[in-house]
Amino acid sequence: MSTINMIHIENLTYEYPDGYPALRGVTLNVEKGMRMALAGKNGAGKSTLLLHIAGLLDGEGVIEVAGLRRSPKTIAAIRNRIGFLFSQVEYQFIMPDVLNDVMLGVSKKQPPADDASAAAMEWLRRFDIEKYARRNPLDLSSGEMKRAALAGIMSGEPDILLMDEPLNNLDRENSQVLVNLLRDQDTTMLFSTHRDFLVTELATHCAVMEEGRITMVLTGNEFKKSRALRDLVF
Amino acid sequence: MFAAFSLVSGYIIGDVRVHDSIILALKIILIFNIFLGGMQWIGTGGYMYLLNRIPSVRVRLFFLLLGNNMLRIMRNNREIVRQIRSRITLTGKNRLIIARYYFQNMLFKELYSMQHSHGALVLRLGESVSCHEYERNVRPLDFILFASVAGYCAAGAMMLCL
Repeated sequence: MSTINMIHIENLTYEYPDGYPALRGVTLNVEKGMRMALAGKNGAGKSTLLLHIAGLLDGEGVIEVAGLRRSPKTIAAIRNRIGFLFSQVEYQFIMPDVLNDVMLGVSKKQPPADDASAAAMEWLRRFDIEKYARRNPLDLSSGEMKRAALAGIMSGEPDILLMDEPLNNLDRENSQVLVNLLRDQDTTMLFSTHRDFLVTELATHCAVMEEGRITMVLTGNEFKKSRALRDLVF
Repeated sequence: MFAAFSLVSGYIIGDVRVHDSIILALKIILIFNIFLGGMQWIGTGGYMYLLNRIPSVRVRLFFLLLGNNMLRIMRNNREIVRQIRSRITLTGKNRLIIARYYFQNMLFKELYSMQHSHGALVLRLGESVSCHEYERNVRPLDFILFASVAGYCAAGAMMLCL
C-alpha cells in the first residue's frame, strides 16, 4: 500500500547566527495521519526543526510539506496548510477576544461573517471554552489559554499540526484534557515534548533527536515497551 | 523606555536633550492612555465595530496589533515588577538597580514576543481580517472613565505646551 508523505525532510542543516549548529543533517518522513513526537534533551534541535517546517527559519536542505517543496514561491501555500502551536501560546493571539481569535482561522476559508462567528463558536464548544468567548485570551489560565490557542489553529483546518511543547505549563489534569482533544483530531501531527506521558498517550510514532540529528524513529508501541529507551530520552 | 533610549543615543552622539526626551516620554504615555482609555470606554464591542469600519486591512491590523501590544506591555510590566521585587529589597540605591533591570527585562521580553508574534502573523492570518461585532453597551461609568481620560489628556497636552 502506498503512503503519502505529509512532511519530507532531507539532510537539513542550520546554524544559529552565533555559530551554534542546531541541525546537523536531519532526515525525516512524516506520513499522513501520523502523530509523531520529537523527543530529546534541551538543545537537541526539536524547536528549530519545527520552525523550519513552518517556514520561520531557513536552513540548508530539502523540506517538502504536503507535496510542496519549500521555496520562496511555495512558502505561503505551505504556511496555509500548517497550524503551529507555540510553546509560549500567549504570543500567538492576535485578536482581543477568544471568539474573534478563533474566527481568524475560520475566515481563512472565507465564509460569510455570520457563518464565520457561528463556526468559531462551534470550535469553542468543541474545546469546551465557549464561556470564555468574549474574554481576552491573555486573561485565561494556562490550560484554557492553550485550548483557546489550539481552537484558533484547528478552526483553520490545517493539514499538519506542529506543536512545540504542547503540555508546557500544564498540570496532569489539563494535560489529559488537551491530549483527549488532540486525539479526536485526524490531522497529521508533529510535536516536540519532554513528557513521557504525551508520547505514550498521543503519539503513533516517536523520533528521537540528539545534538541536531534524528537518531531513531520508533512506533508508539515500540517506545511504550522499551523502558530503557524511555529512561534514556526522558 | 523610549525616552531612556533617546537619552542614551543622545549621550552617544554627544547631544543630550533631556527636555526632548521628557516630552517624548509624556507623548508616549499620553497616546498609551488615550488608546487604553478609549478601549475601556467603548468596550470590545465598540472596538470591533470601529475596526470593521476601517477599509484597509493593513491599517485594521495595525490597530489590532497596537492594542494587543499595549495589553502585553501592561502584563509584562506587572510580571517584571513582581520578579524584581521578589529579588531586590526596595531601599535606597537599589531603586536605581531596579530601573536598570526593568529596562533590560522589558526590552528582551519585547524582542522575544516580536519573534513569536511575527510567526503567528505569517502562519495564522488569511487574506482579510474581519471582526465579530458584539452589541455595544455604553454605561454611565464608561462616560465617567472617558471623561477622566480626556481630562488627563488635556492636562498632559497643557504640560507639553509649557
